[in-house]
This record gives sequence, C-alpha cells and structure tokens, in this order.
Amino acid sequence: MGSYSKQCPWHSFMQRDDRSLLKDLASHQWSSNYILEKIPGIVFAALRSLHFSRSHRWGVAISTEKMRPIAMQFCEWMRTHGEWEKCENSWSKKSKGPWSLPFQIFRSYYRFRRAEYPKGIKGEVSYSGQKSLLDMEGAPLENALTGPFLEAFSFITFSLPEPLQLPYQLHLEGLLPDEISKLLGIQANKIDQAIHAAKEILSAGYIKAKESA
Amino acid sequence: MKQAKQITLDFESHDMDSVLIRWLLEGVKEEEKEKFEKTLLFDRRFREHFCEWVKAIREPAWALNASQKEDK
Repeated sequence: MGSYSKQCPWHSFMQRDDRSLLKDLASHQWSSNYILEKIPGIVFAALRSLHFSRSHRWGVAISTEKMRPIAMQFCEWMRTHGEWEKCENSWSKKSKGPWSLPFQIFRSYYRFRRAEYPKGIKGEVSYSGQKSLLDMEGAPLENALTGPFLEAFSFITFSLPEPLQLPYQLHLEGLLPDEISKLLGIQANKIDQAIHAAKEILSAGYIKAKESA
Repeated sequence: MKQAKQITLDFESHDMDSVLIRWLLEGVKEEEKEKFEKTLLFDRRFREHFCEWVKAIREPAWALNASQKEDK
C-alpha cells in the first residue's frame, strides 16, 4: 500500500498539519453550526467519500444541502462524545505526523456511523459488494438475516484452496486486482488468475450440488 | 472446510487510526504482514470495513476538490 498512497488523491491532504485547528476544536465546545461554517470542506468530503462515492461514479452529484442534516448530527456527536478531545489526545502522543484533519474526521465518521447507524444510513450507496447484492429490490432475505447470511457466504470461501481465499474475498468486497496486488504483494496477473480459479471452483461445486439434489 | 480462527481487530477504534495511516503511507511491515492477512481473511467485519475504506480513498479527489474551497 505504500506505493499506492503516493498515487492516492488523498496524499496531499495527508501531509497537512492541522494541529492548531484540532486543538481549537477540542478545547471549545463549538456548536455544529460553527464547525460546519469553519471546516465545511473537510466534513463534507468525508461524507461524500464514504456514503456517496458510488453516486459519483454514476455521475450523480450529491449536494451539500442534502448532506447537511447528517453533517450536523455528526458534528453534534463529535462534541457530545468528546471525539475532538480523543483525537487531540491521540495526536499529542505522536512524535511525528501525519496530523491531517481530513483523515482524522474520515476516521471519526466511521465511529459515528457505527454508533448511530449500525445498519447504514438511508440513501447510502457506498456498500460492500456482498451487501449490495442483498440490498437489491426483491432481495431474498430480510435485513435481519443479512449478517448471518454474509457470514455463511464468507465461510464458503474457506472451501477454496488457501492461496485463493483472501484474493477472492477481497475481490468480493469490491477491491480492484491492482489494489489487491499492492495490498498482498502479489503480481496483478496472479491475482486475476486466483479470482478466475476461485470462480471456477465455486461454480463447479454449485453445479455438482445441483445435479446431486 | 477449515474452521475460521477467531482473530479480531476493532476497525473503528482510535488505536487503529495511526495503524491505518501508517499502512497507507509506509505500507504493512514484514513482521506484521501475517497477522494483517489473517485478520483480513478471518474477520469478515474488519475486512468489510477495511475494503470500504480503501474504496473510499480510491477516488475522493472530486469530493475534496469540491469541498476544499468551502473551508475558511
């Protein structure tokens, strides 16, 4: 991932030094309105990236106005849960950076979502590949069964030969072969072959089970 | 079928903030590679969140570019 980060559009934003800004946010109980007036770009960038990235891929622009209610709620959660102070405390322990507020807020937003919206937010389109299959209209399972079903589906991948398991799981989650390659330190063409082989094995198993049923 | 080992990491924890940014900027160290890969393999929830994170930073330039002019 090291080399990947240099090509990543976030790279320049990782190099920011926002220590004084975070100190200010952590030492005052600023209202959500004030925070959204002060750093709207950072807050809305985190929301856009996490919730609406697929909308962008399909050419749909999400307006700031549409995101404002959830952004307000997020800022209020940051204040009432002492998240600014926790982040500032964490930064003060670091001897070297990065001290990038866009990255930190991006992380805090994950925590907010888990705490307040464990099943996702209405209109959210940045799902995992497996989840999006289950969220299609007419999906065969109720939402309450989604977790166990995904666990079971994930478990099936353990029937694959060991070298194929992780590349195929990451593929199911929507990572590109190039990203999987950088992550695991395996050549991209080998990743392609592993994914192809995994599909072959699983579909052969399915056909066999269907014939014997 | 192999039994999944119980290896868990809390993806959203504050401790993971610095680990993730280090992975992104410097890469996964050789000595932690095995644990990292096992966690990805056996902890579905961690894997799901980790991949969502990679996808979110994959193409956010539009979001940042659209937003950075708004900051005062």
